[in-house]
Amino acid sequence: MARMIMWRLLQFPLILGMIFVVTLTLAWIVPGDPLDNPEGREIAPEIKSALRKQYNMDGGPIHFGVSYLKGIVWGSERGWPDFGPSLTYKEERVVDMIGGSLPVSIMLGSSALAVALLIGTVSGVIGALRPGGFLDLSSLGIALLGISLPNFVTGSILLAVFAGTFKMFPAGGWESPWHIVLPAITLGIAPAAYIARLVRLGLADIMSSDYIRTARAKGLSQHKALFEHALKVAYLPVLSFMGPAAASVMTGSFVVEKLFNIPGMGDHFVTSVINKDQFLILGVVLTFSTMLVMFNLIVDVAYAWIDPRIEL
Amino acid sequence: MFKRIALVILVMFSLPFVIGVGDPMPKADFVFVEDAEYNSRDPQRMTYLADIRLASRLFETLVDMDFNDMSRNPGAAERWEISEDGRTYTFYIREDAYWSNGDPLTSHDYIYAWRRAMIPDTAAGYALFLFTIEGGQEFYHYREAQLADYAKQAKLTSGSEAKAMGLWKEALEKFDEMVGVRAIDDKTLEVTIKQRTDYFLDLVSFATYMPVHAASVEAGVTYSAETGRRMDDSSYWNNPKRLIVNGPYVLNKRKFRQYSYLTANPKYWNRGSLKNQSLLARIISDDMAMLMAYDQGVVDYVPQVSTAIAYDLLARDRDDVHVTPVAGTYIYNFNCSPKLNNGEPNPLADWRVRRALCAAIDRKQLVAKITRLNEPPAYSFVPPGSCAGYDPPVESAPIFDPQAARDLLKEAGYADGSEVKGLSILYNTGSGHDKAAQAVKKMWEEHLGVVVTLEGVESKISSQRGRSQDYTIRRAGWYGDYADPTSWLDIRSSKDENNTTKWSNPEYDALLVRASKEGDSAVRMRLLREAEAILLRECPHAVLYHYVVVSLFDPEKVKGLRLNAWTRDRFEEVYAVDRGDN
Repeated sequence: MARMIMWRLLQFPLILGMIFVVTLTLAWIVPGDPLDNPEGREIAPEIKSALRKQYNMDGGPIHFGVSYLKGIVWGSERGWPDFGPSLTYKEERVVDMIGGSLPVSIMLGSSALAVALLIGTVSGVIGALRPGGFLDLSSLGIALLGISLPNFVTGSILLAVFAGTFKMFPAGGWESPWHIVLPAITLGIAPAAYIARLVRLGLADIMSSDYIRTARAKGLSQHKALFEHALKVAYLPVLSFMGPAAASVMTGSFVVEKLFNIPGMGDHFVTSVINKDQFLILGVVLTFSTMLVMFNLIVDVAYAWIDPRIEL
Repeated sequence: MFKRIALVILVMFSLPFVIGVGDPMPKADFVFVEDAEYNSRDPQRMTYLADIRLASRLFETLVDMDFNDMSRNPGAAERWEISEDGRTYTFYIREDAYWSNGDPLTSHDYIYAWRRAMIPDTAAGYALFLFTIEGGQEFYHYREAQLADYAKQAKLTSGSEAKAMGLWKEALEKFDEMVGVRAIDDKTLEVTIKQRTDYFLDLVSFATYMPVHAASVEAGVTYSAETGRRMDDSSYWNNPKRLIVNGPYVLNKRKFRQYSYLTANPKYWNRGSLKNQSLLARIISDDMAMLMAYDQGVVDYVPQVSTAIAYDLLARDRDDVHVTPVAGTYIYNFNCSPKLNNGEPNPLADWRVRRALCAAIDRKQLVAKITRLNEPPAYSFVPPGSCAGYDPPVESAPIFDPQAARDLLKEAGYADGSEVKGLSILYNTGSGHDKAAQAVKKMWEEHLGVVVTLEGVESKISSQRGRSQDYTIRRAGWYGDYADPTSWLDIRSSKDENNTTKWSNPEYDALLVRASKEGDSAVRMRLLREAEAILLRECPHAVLYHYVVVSLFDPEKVKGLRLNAWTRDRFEEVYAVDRGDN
């Protein structure tokens, strides 16, 4: 296993390097000038060329890419790593912007995943206890609804009901654990539904398998069979789902963050592209890819933890 | 197994409580919404209106412009004198004007700030406002050339920080020689401008002319050995602990994309007049979240709601919804180049075609049925009433008259509108521009038979294509920067960078030049009026309507808030009553 981890870590810079090149190329060739001020006065050409010099953008994409990489790998006088300044927020450094919003997204994302795991596991297990029963059908129905409803709909409904009508939760912001409840539920419902289906289907399958039947025939109670033997196996697909889900949920959701006014990463994904903020685009994409690769690695390790039969 | 899963879930749930989620917002006397984080707090580098509004709370200009009655009042300068020829201004800074750290405010701080805006090192978006000052533009180009030379040299021999510093010393001497600003003493500042400019005091009250605490800013400057440039420490501007200001408020606390918290500046000379002790700008970008925060009483004032929800709010007939006409005009630029970028002849090069298109737009219908915010239909580029002493020549603008429009097309050689080919409306998506474009397209088809296509793109793409004349008709808008007709009319002179229509009329240019040299302001306004009449006759752009801003506040709860055409609120006069939380 240690060898596998080493090997994967070695591939890491290569993967990131390729992502960097592709992103830089795309960010460079998309039309639109990052230094434009679309609704206001045109910035005079001499000022624009001064700005281009200032941002190291006057020497073409390769020159820019190399100096950007230098900042990431070796850092600069502003510290390590340095993802450069933001072109939109003139006095911010990209590293501070990501540093400020990534923990927010991770926090929201892990709460959402907790919601997803809790609801998903419980309703999946309930469904599997009596396949075809009322509880099973209703939990499947709810799961279907959870998967099909986009989160701006769930979010708006939760906001209108629990913040608007009942005033049980704050309408938005990022000030206390109370502020996390509604967005975490909004963000967690879709993966919860997915997990519920995975657990329910896996359990039903395993519960009717030969070895469980044999165990039951020898007198093992249904609960014991389910919780101690079947769930373990049924959870494996959930785990492989959790890796990418964690990466995507923890790097923020544009819709949920906007709706609940949460200063997370999701907003950067969209606005950096709209603003053609090349420093931020690169910073955000590199952060996201790093997390994605890391989470996949963690999931593979967790596989081994849950099921020691799996060799890595 | 179940225990393991339960443990993981438990740990994840407890995270927010263990690590904590954000901080509670500070409590403030007056809370308002900003729909996006400020782009800059550096007065010389800012270009966005929200930033400029923020800056006017933190920094005080020599002249204080009250946008409610357009009066120019003493700000940091208690008085000023203007020479006979209108070219020399002497400002007398208040004896009791201090920086928030207790240092006296001096004329040197102003000179330092203005010089900052005049060098390419800073790349100030509004540097051109400083070019009104004698020698300002020349100094900019001097420094530009100096830096270019240095960079070339540095490539051959190696540059060094010391050399770059030496370069700046030279530039400083040059500045004293070239530029018409002079500190007579610590509290007296003399400025010589290129030529008489009636609105110079308006410029002086603009953000680019705000002072900065010279010692603090200079302390953060480093020099690039490679390019010779002076580089500011940009982190100074968003650090509440370091930022030193001279305005009514200080930046007390801020959190990126969450809030900016301003409290009364104890060193401000006029602190006694403040009606509140603290302001909180909450940054909320989503319409629904904004409304929810307002309805819950979390914020007192929403300065602008988006066009997407403005109509619904208006339709509800609420007392707290306010519509304010503002000093901006919604326009459709016409590409006036003789040939299009693809080499085809451009039908819009003929002013009669452009005017016909303008005359076929039913502006009243447009604002009544499409935009629906009671915007005033536009018959001039300069919004009526926005500049004192100026009455736009609305009679020269084409009114809605389909027959006259068809006649004009015939005169231009098109027996039928369908012969006018290759036109398309380029607009940036969002803010209802698509609906307006569809309506205009339909009007042109119906009244003229001219068929155009629609192209919705992102705003940065639209502006780039506008600049390279890669369009035929393009949606745009223009807000005045200062209360003078030239703030609008200048952008249609042949040489102006903002003139993306490539319309060029020597008579128009000559009138603007004559107006700029005219000493008598009544005559000057008459010349500008003549110029605008040409603009309205030849239609390099179609004027559709003047913008309005829809804002939200309860007049029973928020007192002292005056809305004006320049959306420049004076928050120091505002206070909220009946607030439950403080």
